[in-house]
Amino acid sequence: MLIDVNVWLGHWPFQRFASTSAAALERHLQAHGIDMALVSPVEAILRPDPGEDNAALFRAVGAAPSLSPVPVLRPSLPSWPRHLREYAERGVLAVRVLPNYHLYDLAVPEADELAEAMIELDLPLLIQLRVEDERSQYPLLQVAGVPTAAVLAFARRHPTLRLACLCAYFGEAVELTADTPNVWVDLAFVETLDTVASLVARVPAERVLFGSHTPFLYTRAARDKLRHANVPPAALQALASGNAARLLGAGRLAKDSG
Amino acid sequence: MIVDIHVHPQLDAPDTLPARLIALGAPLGIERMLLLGDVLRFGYCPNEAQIRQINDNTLHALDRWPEQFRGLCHLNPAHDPAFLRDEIERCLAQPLMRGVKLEVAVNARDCRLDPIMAELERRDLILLHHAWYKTTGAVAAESTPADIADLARRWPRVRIVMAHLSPAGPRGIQDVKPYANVWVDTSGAQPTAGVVEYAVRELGAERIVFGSDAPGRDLAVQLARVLGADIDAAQRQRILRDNALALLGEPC
Repeated sequence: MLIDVNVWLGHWPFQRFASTSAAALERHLQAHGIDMALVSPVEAILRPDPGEDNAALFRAVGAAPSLSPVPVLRPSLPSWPRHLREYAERGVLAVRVLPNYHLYDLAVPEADELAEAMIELDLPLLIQLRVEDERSQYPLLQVAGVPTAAVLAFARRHPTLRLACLCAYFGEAVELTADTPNVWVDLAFVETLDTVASLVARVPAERVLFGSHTPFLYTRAARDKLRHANVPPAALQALASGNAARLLGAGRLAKDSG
Repeated sequence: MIVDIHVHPQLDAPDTLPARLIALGAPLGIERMLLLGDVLRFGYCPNEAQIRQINDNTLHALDRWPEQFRGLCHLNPAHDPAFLRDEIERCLAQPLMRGVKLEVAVNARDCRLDPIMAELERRDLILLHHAWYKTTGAVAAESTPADIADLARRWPRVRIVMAHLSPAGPRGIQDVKPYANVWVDTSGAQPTAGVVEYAVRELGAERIVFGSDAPGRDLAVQLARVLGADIDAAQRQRILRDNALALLGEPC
């Protein structure tokens, strides 16, 4: 079982994606051995109200059972509590936020309110630290990564919130997991020689998730981090699906898969 | 056989890192690597003694593992032309040296590259030059693909490998497209989807070579850019092996 916690569906103005329909994305992921993927709408990164893009995502993935919709929320919009209730009733496994693209700090009261609402719903929150390598962004759209210090302070204020940080660099992954047991990181942007073995030497293996950041990055790049990982089989299994199952709530995941 | 044309040995691990690279590369089919030197060990503008130290480290790996490694002589074009010629001469006494690596000390448009380019032309050796379109964090003299294009125009008989395909992006690929003496290596930054396919469409597979930029990057991940790209088997073989062997002057 391989669960990808970091997948997107849609169009991005600075890159041409090969798979822009749910069916094509599902085929693509399955060809890479990915059994289940948490998918968010690309358009929600830049558009002011992600609600419509989330609605389009739910419609799009309806016939693609291995794609689990993860709506994007923008807590700076007053509509977010209503949308969160609606998404929870639909049975989503998680919600994704992009504080840097959506122009708010994790220290604002609305972010704390969202965190408490997620705890109440027993749902994990996915924080997208970045979408692109900052060095290669379009010059008129430079968006810095979400500061690690802000994420750590947020995680400490909400110690029972399950928090997955997506697209962290290696050093950030180490920092984010050092003494915050409620934080997970994904593999998408973590890279060095012998990536997985190097990472789990510094980060507890049970806090690392498989994330490919498809379609922004080659899916095979993430897949081959696991395929060629020099770690014991138990750690590999945890990275592939066990940790994601714990993050998402094993019971919920079984229901979703069934 | 896969050839990785962009690997950096490290001064603080002269034996352990090459051995580790060989061990990690073997299961992936990477049997030969081009060592470019520990080029940023002393910052962006190494002095002459530091340049010698960087090249000594590369020469050591070539002496110890002649089957697995080839090398490039790292230079800083800001140095005296006599030193540059002497250092090329010293490095090329080792027959597994294949050319010169330039980093960010001097921009590729600078005429101080001319003595190096003249030596490369005379000896029919390659230049591998760093290039990057950086939105943020560029070093003052750092070269962009447009700078590499200018160099290629001025030295049409020198074969230039421009490093870093993803950070070059479509704009960088278009910059060097008119210059048949420029190849592009696939290393650099995140494995951004679609860029290998774009480069194959625009440059042709015959002008692209696989490079990992290890140990800063992961051999398997960087290889996955090429293995995961939607290109045909013949194009893949050119990128992973044939083009590099031809550039290094070795039989396929």
